[in-house]
Amino acid sequence: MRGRGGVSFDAVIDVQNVSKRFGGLRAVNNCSLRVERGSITGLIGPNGAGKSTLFNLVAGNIVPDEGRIFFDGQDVTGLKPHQLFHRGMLRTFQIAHEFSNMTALENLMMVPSNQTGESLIKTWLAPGAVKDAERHVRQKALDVIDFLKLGHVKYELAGNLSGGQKKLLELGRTMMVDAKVVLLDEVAAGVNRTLLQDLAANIERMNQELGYTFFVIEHDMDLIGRLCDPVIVMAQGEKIAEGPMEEIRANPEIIEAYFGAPVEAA
Amino acid sequence: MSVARRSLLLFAGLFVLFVVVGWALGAANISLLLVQSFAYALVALGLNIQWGYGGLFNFGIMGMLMLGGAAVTFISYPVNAQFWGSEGPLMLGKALMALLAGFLLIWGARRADRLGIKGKWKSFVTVLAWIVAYIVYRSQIDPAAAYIESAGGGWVGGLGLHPVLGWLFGGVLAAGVAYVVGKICLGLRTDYLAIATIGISEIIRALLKNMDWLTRGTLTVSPIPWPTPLPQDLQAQGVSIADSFIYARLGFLALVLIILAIAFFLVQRAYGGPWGRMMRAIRDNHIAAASMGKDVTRRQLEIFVLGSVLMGIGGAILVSFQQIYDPGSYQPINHTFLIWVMVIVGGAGNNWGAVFGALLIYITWMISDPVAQAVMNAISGWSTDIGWGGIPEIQSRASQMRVFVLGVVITIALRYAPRGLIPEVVRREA
Repeated sequence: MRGRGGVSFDAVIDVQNVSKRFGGLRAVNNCSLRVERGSITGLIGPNGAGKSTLFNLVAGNIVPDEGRIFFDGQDVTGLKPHQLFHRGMLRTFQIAHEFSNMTALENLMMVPSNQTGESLIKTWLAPGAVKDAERHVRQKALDVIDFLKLGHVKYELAGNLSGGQKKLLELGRTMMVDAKVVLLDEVAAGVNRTLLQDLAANIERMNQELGYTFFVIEHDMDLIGRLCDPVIVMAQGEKIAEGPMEEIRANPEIIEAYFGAPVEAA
Repeated sequence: MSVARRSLLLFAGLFVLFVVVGWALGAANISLLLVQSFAYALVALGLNIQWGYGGLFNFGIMGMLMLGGAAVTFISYPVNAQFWGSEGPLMLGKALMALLAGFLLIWGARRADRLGIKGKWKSFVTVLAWIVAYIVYRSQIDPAAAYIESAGGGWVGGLGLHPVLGWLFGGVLAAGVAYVVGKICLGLRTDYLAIATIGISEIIRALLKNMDWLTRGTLTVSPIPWPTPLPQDLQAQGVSIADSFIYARLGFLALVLIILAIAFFLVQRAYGGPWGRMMRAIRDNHIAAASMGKDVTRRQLEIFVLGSVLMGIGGAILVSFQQIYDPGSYQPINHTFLIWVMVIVGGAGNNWGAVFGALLIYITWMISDPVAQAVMNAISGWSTDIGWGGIPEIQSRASQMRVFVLGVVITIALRYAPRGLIPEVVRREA
């Protein structure tokens, strides 16, 4: 079920003393945290706590000034996003990063790596093999589209989709390949309540049946409470607490740092 | 289906335009325009790969065209016996060795950390290596160039091989240069890449214009041979002078069309498949594409090189056809921005659009001068008749009208068809 109760502490992501400065701002300050394999780990904190920066560091979009990041037991500090992707780390973005001039279906079909047709030589010399591979990719994408109930917009340009649909599409991209870890950056923001229930159920299912590890930034405390164990709290670039949601809710220090501070809309 | 129908109508309209212009200017002139516009279509296809698929701002097309021209000149121009009989080849060989030695030196300096030289010291050693390499190379190339230009036959001449080989070499040369340029510059995005490529094409122009030993520079090289029979060859076989130009140019046109068709087929297939999808994804959002496992830098280099190949081939064909290589005649307006107008008006991200734009813009560009001249002559005659006096210097005024007409065309196109006349197609196929 949720995590593995912390008995065998097998960290799939291990962030050690990482710092990142932007000019004079210490966005992430000597932060250490671990994400246990098979868990759905939540990451919460007030605005400007450094959550998204931490995600960018873990996913390789930016390189830390100090500290090391380990993924699956290996030091991946400084690796590029596409290299981490091939090791099984996928992410979604806080502000949807759709491919706006491509259809929703194409947005999904571009994801699988090392597609036969991505090589020019094979495209020109082995069109049959490309077509076969393409049929599989297409079927997979259609399955994901159906799963996300986006069938009615599959031929719509992704740029024309609603904010929530774009978020779903981002989640869909992570379902196109077998990932070890998926980083979800506010995936629920802008998604309607009914769909959100499906989304949560889907995340749980992927976690339990397919063994995905999720690392989730979210402002929707109900969703965090339902999905995540443990929950890590960040404030001012540092981890200030970690534990089950009930404990976090009861911790006065956190209420001070987070719930006491003006809470932004989820 | 409306897109296909619209494209068909546009191409039909273009055909009518060519027929009308051909009727007005004569078959010899229209066949000349056709050859050149289809060669430009190849170049536009190259830019469409870079910008339409990949979103790369290449404003250095002129440099690639010049490289293609230099390549075909070198491959297809007759052998310069005086050069090969002189000390020139040996001296050039030495200069080449010096160049290679210089690169080895720099390569070694970049690996100085293996000898325990690190940080600032490594940078210092690298800079030092560059300086030494430069001095060594110049010590060999300067006397070689001076000798060739004075006593060694003036310049290196050509190899006397088939012009089509020269066209292919034009593609290879452009690819090689594009690879190096791309390695350095593709980290720059959007407008920064545009600025860098403008600078690079100017560097290429300055080099080719001033390396007299290699290209004869502003002295120009002619006549560069054709791959197909020249008008003179046909005349020797008894074809009348007027007909000989038409048939010779149609022969050349056939060859250009074959090459364009092959290139179009390959490019279209790549664009329609997963390769094109990946490139469009990178264009739309390179951050997300990288997070989805695509090696953005490498793929952008790939499209930059592929597009440059077509530009190099197109540039080589243009030089072959004109039979003269004149590095001084290249201008960014004619050889970079004209191509951009072709792709923007035709439709970025659509190969049919790029070809359509190339044909339409090239013929507009070429006929706006004579048309403006005719219009001005008419107005001038009329105003003289009523006593207001004629328009002075009609010829030079008319030639300026080209740029004006081009400006009007792109303004209208951007107003009414911002994505081009034959825009990128959304793939809604079942």
